[in-house]
Amino acid sequence: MSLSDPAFLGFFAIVFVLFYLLPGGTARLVLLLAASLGFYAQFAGVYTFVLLFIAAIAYVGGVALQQTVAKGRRQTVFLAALVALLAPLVLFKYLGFLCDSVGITLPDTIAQLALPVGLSFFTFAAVGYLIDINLELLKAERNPLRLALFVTFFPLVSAGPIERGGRLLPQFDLAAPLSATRAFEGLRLVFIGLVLKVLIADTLAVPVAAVFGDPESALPLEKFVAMVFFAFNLYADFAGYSLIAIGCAKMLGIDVQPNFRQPFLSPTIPDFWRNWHMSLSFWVRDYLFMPLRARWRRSGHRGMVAATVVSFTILGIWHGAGWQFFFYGLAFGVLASASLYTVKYRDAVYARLGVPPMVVRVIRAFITFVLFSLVLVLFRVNYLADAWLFYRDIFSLGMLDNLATALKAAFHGGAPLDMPMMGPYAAYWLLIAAVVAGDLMARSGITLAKIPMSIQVAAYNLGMASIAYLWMSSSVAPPFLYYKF
Amino acid sequence: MTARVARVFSEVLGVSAEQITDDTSPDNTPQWDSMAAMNLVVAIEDEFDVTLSTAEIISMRNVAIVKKVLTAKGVADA
Repeated sequence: MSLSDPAFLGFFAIVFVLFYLLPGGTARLVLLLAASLGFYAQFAGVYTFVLLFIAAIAYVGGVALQQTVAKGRRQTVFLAALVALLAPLVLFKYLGFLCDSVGITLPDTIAQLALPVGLSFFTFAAVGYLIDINLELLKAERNPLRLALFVTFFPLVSAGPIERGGRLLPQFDLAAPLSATRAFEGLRLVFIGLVLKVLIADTLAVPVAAVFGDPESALPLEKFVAMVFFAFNLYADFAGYSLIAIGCAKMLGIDVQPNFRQPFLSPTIPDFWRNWHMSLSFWVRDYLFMPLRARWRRSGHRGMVAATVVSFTILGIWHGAGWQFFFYGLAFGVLASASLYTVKYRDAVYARLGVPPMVVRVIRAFITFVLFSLVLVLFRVNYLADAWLFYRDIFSLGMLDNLATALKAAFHGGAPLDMPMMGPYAAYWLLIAAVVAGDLMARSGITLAKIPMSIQVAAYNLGMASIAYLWMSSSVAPPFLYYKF
Repeated sequence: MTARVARVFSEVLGVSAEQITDDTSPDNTPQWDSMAAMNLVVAIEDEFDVTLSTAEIISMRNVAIVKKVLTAKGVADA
């Protein structure tokens, strides 16, 4: 039962009704905690103990840190709690890869351990909480139920957003009465999230899976188009998930930070990461980049580049144990550094050429998108070697030949380029156009909430009918792409 | 100290000193990006002749915290 399953909506409806039937305070807290553990257990079964372990360590570590005044002893407590929090992540996610890399064979009992859903997300939330207490930015939570809910809260536990203790914990009084306005705002976000996931992401996933599953057979142009489709597939999938999570939390009276802010309109790679998977990139900024940058602050440009590259590389490895994620992060580190240090010169070139600011913005967003999509190939390929097939073909003469054939067919009536893996190709571009139009409207301040109610109702009806149709015509709902992290 | 802190922020971020309040933070000040953050730290260290620890630097998420850290380091007029 993922957040886009009809079963989840049923589950959430029951939690929502019970929540507002109960008096505010502990009763609601216990309900949300029970719902969260039940929700997680249906994903993870026996691995739920890992979630409870992380919550317990965060609680005990936080309280112990708060009570320890002596500086040396405080650091020992902090490091011990940090190691305990990170131990499951290393065991379940990285140990196999690390041992493989140095030629050690793990016993089957360890090698066959499954990765608990959401482990990287709730571990990072707990680690951030502990660091904030260590820095005295946050007081340790004394109520174990509230802290347990912070780590296990069901809308966020499987794939974030990675929340901060300072933002979420103060909202756990759970005393507010039902607000129709707020509930409707939350429902609207859930609706948009479902449209993004069920209508757009799951549809684009089909040609993407075909090409990435058999890159040797795909034409160069098919690889290029699949690369572009995957960028939108991932965006619609993860932004859709995030909106459903944020919307559900909002309906329960809890505000969660946004995770995406029209990333494909970003003019530079650093700006892109301020708008893409924001809860992770801000986590990395605050807890990795800033300490490194602070340590190397007198090293000038070298310090800045080193902190940027190391932070992005770790951000890449956060996604998974494998060289493809290492290179994914490293590439963004290099691109972000290059962007920071060339932006002045690029500004000067545009100014000298007299390019209008609007055109500059479009050119920059396009270049940023293409760079992101190229690096994202590393994120999607099944094997690192497959990425080479993509890059080799996308920058080949075969690609130009494919393009010439496709353009000739479009404008001069020649024989169309046969792209069997792409399926109903034109329809996919319409979905992408819809995503871009939605982002442009949102950036201009035009949201669904601001258009006339009659149009909103028509949009909800059409959207829900389409979602219901796709739910009924698909026996198994594809899981969210970020569930594997 | 308030005026000196505001001046340092104003010079490094390129905004007027009047715009610098206790609530000024990277979240509401686009100029306070990751590159400017460390320029701010270096400028604060030079201005107040203090050395900030890594923990102090990463805790400085708004102007009020910067002033609190400086006060704890013995800088007068909090």
